[in-house]
Amino acid sequence: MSGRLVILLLALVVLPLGLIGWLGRLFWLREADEWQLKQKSQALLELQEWQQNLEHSLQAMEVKSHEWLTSAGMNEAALRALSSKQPLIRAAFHVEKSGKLRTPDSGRPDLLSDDDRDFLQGTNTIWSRGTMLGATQQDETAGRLQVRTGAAQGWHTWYHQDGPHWLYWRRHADESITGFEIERMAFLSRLIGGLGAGGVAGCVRLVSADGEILMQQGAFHPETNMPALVTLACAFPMQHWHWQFFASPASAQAPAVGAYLLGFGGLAALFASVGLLLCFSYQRDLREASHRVSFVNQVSHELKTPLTNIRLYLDLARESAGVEANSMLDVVEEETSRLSRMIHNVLTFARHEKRSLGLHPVAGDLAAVVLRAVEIWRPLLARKNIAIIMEDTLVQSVCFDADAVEQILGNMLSNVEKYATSATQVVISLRVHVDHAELSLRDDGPGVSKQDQPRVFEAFYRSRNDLTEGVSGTGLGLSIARALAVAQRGSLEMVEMAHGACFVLSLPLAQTNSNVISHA
Amino acid sequence: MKTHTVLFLLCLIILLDFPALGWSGDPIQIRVDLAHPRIPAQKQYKTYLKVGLVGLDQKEKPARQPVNVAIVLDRSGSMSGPKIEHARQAAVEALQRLGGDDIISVVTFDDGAESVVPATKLTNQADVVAAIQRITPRGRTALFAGLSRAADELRKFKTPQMVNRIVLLSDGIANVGPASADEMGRYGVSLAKESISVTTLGLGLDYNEKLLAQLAQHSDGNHAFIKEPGDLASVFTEEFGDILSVVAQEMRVKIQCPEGVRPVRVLGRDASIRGGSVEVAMNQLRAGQEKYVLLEVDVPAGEVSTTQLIGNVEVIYRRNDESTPKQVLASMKATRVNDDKEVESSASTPILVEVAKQIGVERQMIAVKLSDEGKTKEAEKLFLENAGTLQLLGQKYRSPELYIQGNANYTLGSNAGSESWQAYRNAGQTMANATLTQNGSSNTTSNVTALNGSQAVNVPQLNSTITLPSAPAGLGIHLGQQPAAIIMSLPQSSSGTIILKPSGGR
Repeated sequence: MSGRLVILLLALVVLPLGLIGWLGRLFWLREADEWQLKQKSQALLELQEWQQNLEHSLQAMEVKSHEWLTSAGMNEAALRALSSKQPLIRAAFHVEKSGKLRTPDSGRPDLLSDDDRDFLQGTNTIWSRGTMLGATQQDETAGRLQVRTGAAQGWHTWYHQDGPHWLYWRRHADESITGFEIERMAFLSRLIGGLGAGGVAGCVRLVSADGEILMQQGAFHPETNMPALVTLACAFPMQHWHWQFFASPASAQAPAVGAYLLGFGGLAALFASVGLLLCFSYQRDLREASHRVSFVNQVSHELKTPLTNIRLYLDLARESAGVEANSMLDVVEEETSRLSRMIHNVLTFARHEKRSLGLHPVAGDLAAVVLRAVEIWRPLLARKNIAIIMEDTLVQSVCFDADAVEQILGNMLSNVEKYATSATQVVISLRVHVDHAELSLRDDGPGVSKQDQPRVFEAFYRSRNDLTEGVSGTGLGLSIARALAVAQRGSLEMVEMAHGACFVLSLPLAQTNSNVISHA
Repeated sequence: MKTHTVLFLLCLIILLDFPALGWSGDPIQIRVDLAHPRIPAQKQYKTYLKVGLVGLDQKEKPARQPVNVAIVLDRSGSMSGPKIEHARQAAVEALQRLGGDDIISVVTFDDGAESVVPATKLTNQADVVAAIQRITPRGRTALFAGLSRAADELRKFKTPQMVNRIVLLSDGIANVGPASADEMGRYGVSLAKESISVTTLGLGLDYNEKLLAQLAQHSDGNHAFIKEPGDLASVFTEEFGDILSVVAQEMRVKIQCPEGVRPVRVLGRDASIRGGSVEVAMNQLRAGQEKYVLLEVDVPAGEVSTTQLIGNVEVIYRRNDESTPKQVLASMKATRVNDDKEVESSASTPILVEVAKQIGVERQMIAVKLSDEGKTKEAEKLFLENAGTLQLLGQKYRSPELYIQGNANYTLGSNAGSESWQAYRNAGQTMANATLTQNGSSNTTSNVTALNGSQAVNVPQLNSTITLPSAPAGLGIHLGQQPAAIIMSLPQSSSGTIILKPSGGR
């Protein structure tokens, strides 16, 4: 019984739950994918905005730089004054058209300050390579060096020692160039300062080529090794830097998971509770039924003794009674045996439930037993205008338990008496079919309706129709009959008929040596 | 050169108009000194030219100019507990010294920077105090971001008349953003060009001393090591006192040496030396302080009794209460003599003391660097050598200051590599920084005590409380050692000290 319960539970609860969970996960994953995609594109937009701000800052600086260089002209003292006055300028320079440095002049080492020497050392690669300022930027990134002598001003960036450095330069009418090296920290500080403090939901970082965080903004502070959601490279002249966007894990899943947990979780909970409810009520019914059976069982046991006494004294009464009284006693006897049958049925059912029918099939004359039982029932059915017709063609010995066969037959004839009141005859035939004996019982009553047919053998099942109205019964008769048949290695089946009901009891033919069969 | 001469004459005329201390309304005194007014004739000789700017304590204080201050607080996780409590309290107490016209901003940094109080006139102190009290520690240390933000806040209301100062407090290693000491030094140089100086306060033993010291030194700000959070309040208050008593800004000293005289280097300060011309910028000068340029020069040999021009000096500065800068010119000459004794007897002890101090600091910093690199033995040797030299010179020049510096080096030497090294190191570096920027009158007091305190145990015979037999009373500040000799001669004087007065602006 518990095995069936588990299967029921599986079918009703676990399977739907699993299905719901799987579907939910599928939906959620799809949603999460979409959401992440959306988040990524939003983050990219955000980074692009930061990059734009960075470029604005840079443009503002370009305007200033241009002004400074214009006002200083090619005057050496004015150029030097730039580097001592402007926070953004580390060192100014003037280079002739030929590429020779005029300021600071490396040809006169005695006139160089320490800062000049630093500048010359730092920019050495530029002058020694003869890099043309103005033949730079886009052209270099496009992979081919194109001399664009037309460019009048711009940035130049190069790597030296600890990172990128920047020059801003301007070309004069005589093709010579003045410019200056940017004070890097001041440059960075201004750039960052120009970005302002946007309200960032995640975390925006500006990172240098060697992974140093130049700035970070946002409410979320990612762990050290957390990968960035989106990266965006900065444009020239900050091409060594890139932007990173980190989404906080909290905002990355919350909306989707919440809704899905609520939706699918609720559905799952509903299924689970319905399943559990069904399971509990089924168990309760089972418990109640078994209580009922055991109660009836006990009562039936108690009834057996008085019933035996009644039959004993009924026989004694017959001897001293007159004819009239005897006919009344006939009725008493009939009713008594009906009562006895019922009790017998109940007790058999109880034993069947405990798997201890304790039958002893032996080889014998089935026809004799059937005939004896039929003779007992003949007057009862006759009173209801039902005739019993015997078609006895059986000669072989059959292996059976006499009491059980009597009980089966009794239950079936009792059914005819109770339910087939409109029938006129019951035909009982005995014959051998292949390797077993068949006892068929056919009436011409109303029969069993199609929808009830599969369930007539179930215990406590009674068809609900006008037939059963007002008729007493336990609903055990056929169920016990089939159990008894099976216990004798036989079977009890209902055969479909155009009208009327037909039940066939099959029993094995006796072998040379018969075994004692006990239903374990 | 022509304009110089004209200005020179102008100078003279004004001086004649206001004899003696007639120009005492000016809170700044410029002093030009030569270590050796008499130099030996027959050999090349190394001497030192000193150009000092003295902020005078004035009896009648003029109306103070508004100041523009940004307090930058490290609010990283390591600041939690008493540190942040004291920092908040110190900031609030320091605010009490400011007036309604002053501009204040408060910036904090953790993983990023935030303007807790954007630059504002301090009309409603309660709001600012409330904002400060709300600061709680969290996250990492984005020092550069905090600094950048503070500079932005200062720029909002910056006028030439204002004293612009960032006061930065940190207790840890900057781990978000640029954090190399050299880079930060460059940033300090850049800020100084905008008349912003950064005072850096290092709290506890774990802050990045090199970074903070470089930043302060190159922006001409103060630097202090604060061992206990409880000392924060007094340091903040002193710092604000310093800010409020600034009398001059944007000071620039230019020295042009003639052919043959070679400027070698400027001790302790960033300087640009190009051929014979030397240029040094200084940011702010407060009352009661002397900031100076100490130029080492090689003077060529010559005939006895000839005078040698050492350099023409031009000092430009802007009084804090005026918008146009003033210019002062002078030239310094030395006379060649035959007698080495005469050279020595004419030498200016105060300048030689300053020179000894600066060189002592230089050597101390080299020793600290050695120790940082793990070369404890070499560091110890250098410290002790330096201590010996300083004490010897202290005795020779009767200078308790050199003596104390010598003791400090002794303490550093005997504690190099020890468990408590970091505390000694930071205290020593703070003193060194004060000497380099000549900001050292106040903030280093506790650090001097820190360094001297232990030395009573280690080397009682070197205790700085020993009084030197003939040390002049009241010695210890950079000025006033030769009161009688200060106002001595006119600018064209060939030897001794020149006191100058400004031209222009009147």
